[in-house]
Amino acid sequence: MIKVKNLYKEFNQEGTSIKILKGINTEFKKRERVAIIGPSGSGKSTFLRCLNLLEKPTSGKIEFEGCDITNPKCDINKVRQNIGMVFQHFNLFPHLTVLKNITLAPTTLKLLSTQKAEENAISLLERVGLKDKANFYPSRLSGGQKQRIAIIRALLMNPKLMLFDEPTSALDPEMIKEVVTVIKDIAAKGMTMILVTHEMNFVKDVATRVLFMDDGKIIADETPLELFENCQNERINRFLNKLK
Amino acid sequence: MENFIKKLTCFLIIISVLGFPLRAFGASLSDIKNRGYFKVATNAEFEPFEYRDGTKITGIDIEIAKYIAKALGVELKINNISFDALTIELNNQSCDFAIAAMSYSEDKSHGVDFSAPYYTAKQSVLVLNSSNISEKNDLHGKRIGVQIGTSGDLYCTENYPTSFITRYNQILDASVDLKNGQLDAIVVDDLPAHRLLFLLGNKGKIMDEPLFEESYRIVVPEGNYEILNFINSTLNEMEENGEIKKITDKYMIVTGNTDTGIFSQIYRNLIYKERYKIIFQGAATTLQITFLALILGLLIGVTISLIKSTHKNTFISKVLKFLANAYLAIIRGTPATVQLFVIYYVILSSTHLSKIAVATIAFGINSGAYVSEIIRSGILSVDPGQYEAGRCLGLNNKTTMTKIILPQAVKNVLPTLINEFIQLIKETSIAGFIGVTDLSRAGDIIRSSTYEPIIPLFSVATIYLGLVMISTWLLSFVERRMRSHDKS
Repeated sequence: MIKVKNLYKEFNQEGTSIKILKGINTEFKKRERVAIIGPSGSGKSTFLRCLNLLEKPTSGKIEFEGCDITNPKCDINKVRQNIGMVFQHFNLFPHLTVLKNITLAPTTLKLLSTQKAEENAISLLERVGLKDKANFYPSRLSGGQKQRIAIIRALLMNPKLMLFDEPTSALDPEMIKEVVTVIKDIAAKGMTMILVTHEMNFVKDVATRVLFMDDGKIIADETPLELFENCQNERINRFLNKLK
Repeated sequence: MENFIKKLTCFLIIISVLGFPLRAFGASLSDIKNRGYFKVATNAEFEPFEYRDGTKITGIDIEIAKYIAKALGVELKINNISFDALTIELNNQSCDFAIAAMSYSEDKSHGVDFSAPYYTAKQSVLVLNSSNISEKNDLHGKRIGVQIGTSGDLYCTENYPTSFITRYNQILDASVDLKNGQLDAIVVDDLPAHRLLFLLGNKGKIMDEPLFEESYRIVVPEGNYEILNFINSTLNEMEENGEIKKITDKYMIVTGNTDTGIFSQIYRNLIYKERYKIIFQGAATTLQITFLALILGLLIGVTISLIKSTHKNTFISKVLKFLANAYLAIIRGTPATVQLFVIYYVILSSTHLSKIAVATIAFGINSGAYVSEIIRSGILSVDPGQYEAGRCLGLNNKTTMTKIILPQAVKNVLPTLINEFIQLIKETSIAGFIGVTDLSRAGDIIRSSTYEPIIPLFSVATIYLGLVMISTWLLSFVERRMRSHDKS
């Protein structure tokens, strides 16, 4: 579904360029659920944000369903309609009600009629237990509720792939559970997903594959079982031990 | 080439031959009789010759024009335009004659003919009793007050190069300076001179000999001798039967009031001759200009702020950014008064837009620059994650900006926007400079008729204050409504 070839990313900061990604090569297949873990500053989030071009790669290719999205001729808006994204800080639109937050994109883009969009939105809200919040403004919701709404907002676009950028990092432990439950539920329905997370239990339960990133490179690409149980790499073990 | 010039010459001759008779002769007397009215142009800002009395135009000149129309047995249609536009109107044959206390001058004689004089106006010199000025030559090196742009102003500027000439918008203000010793003399038309003398009581006097005299004449389109002759013979008739003297005596009354009690001042300044109507119409004009200018300013401001905040880096967006920055630099770097004049006299001078429309456009363009910076700061205050979330849902740049970023940006800067609106209400008070009768100008008009400054100034100030307070209240109500749902 997505092929990444020789991906490099540099940022210019006060005249000096900082290399964040130093040659990433990998492939994500349909129905795969890939977790990206690693220490802070290793480039996990930047890598994830390159996949839908929120960050423009310095060089390298990203092919989504055979089409190179780094090519300016590629209609990035069309591509993004197929790639849902969930952020650490939810990024709900504070000036719109929950229902409008969810239906804004599909109705504006004329993918769904207003009526159909609202029907679908309500049934999704029901699925995550927030039907009664449809007409609330985001400011009245808890963090966990906001993140569940943000997930539904991405889901209503009927994406082929979902990107999660540390979806539970801004939540307190009680709320993490309700969000994790929703993500597991989506996983069970066969959604292809790529997650950046620090939640190791979550990785064990959900991921089919784990990428370990350090200093802008992928240094391990294994199943969760292999990574957590028989890893020989000292760097990775040191990191995993600290989390325990 | 030679052939071409010949053809061109031929063409020009034909045009001028065909065009000339149409231009030279306007309506004949029988045309006017058939249509049933005289079209007369005037500039009703010169009491007592032509001025607005409440809502209708009246004065000595208007009564003379009415007499002329009556002599032909037709009605009179008055077109009130700016003084500068009178000769243009005559050149275009848009009126049959113009009457506006005009005196003959070389500069103004192009394309028009002047009638016989119907009135001799004196420019008088008003001084304090204690003054040692008693004849023309004593004015050299003195401090003289005049009304800006009047013939008194031009005469003194030319003939008294060593004097200090102060030019007032309102000659009433000069009398205050004369009384306080800031001026040595005031040069002004005879009638206002007597009215100022009345205000000064026994402290002032008018020099026996007028400074100079000028004759007022009616002006007709050049070559229309039929109308010119008719006007001249009617004026002659009015001179002989005493009609002109009767009309001038009627208007040349030195009014002044000994009763300076607050209620009689209120009566004279607001109720007498329905003067409150001028104030209310002025207030309505001020509101109209402010409101429409605000809408225009918002449209311009939003557009400019979007251009400046775009993430695109194409050639077109670079050009647009450059233009937006140039606009901001020019508007924020020059005074609003200068902008108003440039827009009225240069940019929009060839259009036939009303003064109110021109003022609205000028204030809208001015306000747009400030609004755009306000909204841009609002856009910058919106979390970048909002933009990313919009783009990640597949919305393009434009939709993300208009549906997600702008509504939040506007809400964030609403108090500052309200402030801009309040600022605008007061800023429109300079509209009077191009002749719009807004609220400030309305006060000036009354002040110049009654020669009493207190009531008109306080009425105007009170209404401004009221307008500002009402709009502040209304807008903060809107703001509260908009904010009510994002209280956490």
